[in-house]
Amino acid sequence: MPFIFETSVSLATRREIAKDSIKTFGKNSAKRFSIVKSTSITQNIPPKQIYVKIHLLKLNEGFAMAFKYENGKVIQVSMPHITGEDAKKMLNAKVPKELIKRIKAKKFITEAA
Amino acid sequence: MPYKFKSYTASKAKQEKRALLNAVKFSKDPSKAQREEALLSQALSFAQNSSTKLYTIKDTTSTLKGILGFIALSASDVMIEDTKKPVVLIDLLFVTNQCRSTVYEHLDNSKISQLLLEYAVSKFYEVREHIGVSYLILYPERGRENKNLVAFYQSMGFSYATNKHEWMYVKL
Repeated sequence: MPFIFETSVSLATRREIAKDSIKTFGKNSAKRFSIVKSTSITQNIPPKQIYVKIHLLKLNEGFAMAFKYENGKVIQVSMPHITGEDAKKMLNAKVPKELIKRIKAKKFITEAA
Repeated sequence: MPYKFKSYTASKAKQEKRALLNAVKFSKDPSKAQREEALLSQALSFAQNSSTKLYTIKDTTSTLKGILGFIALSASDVMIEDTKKPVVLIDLLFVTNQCRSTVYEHLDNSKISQLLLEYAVSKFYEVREHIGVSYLILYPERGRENKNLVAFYQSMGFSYATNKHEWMYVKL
């Protein structure tokens, strides 16, 4: 997914983003995130907002096993780090016993291809 | 049993990749079809290098012909606070276009997606006999905007892990 920079983004900001990208995604991140210069779409967005947007994009991109289709490409999606209330909810989640009982009663047949 | 599953080794997935892609029908909407084919193709590539385990489902009564759907499962983990929890991840759940949203009386009064998901749960328990795993997780395609799909997963016991992300889980 290309990052869209406004021409007014300073060189220092670009360096900061590039460094952060390499730290997060490794040396090949430049291949994944091709950086292009301004378009009219972003002309009114201050550089700081673009930076925030890039960070959000990074959070939605990923490393792990699953993948999604976006802008004509299949990309992998990472699991988020679950913390706070979400973590409590997940750790204390109830097991759907009825569903499991029903599934365990079934005898699934699997054969090799 | 009116239906059965077939498991694919890495070499079989490689040998049959093209045939498997041609064996199912994608959405009639060209952009959706393109997305579905790309995702299935990716799952097949993962299966070729054993990054995911691929299964297909068929109707043994021959009422419905050919491959009805795919499910791809892999091992992963999720960080909950400071603890890494091992999980079984559904990399892909795909139903051939003509069988979507249909409940089949002769297939346990179930939808194909339901049978695939139930199979994933059964596989989860098989894995758990040998290796510790805590959750079955998935990432619904197109996320929360795909309301019908999300409602289906919720009906099967899945919940969103956070409000900010699209991942869903069921504790088993």
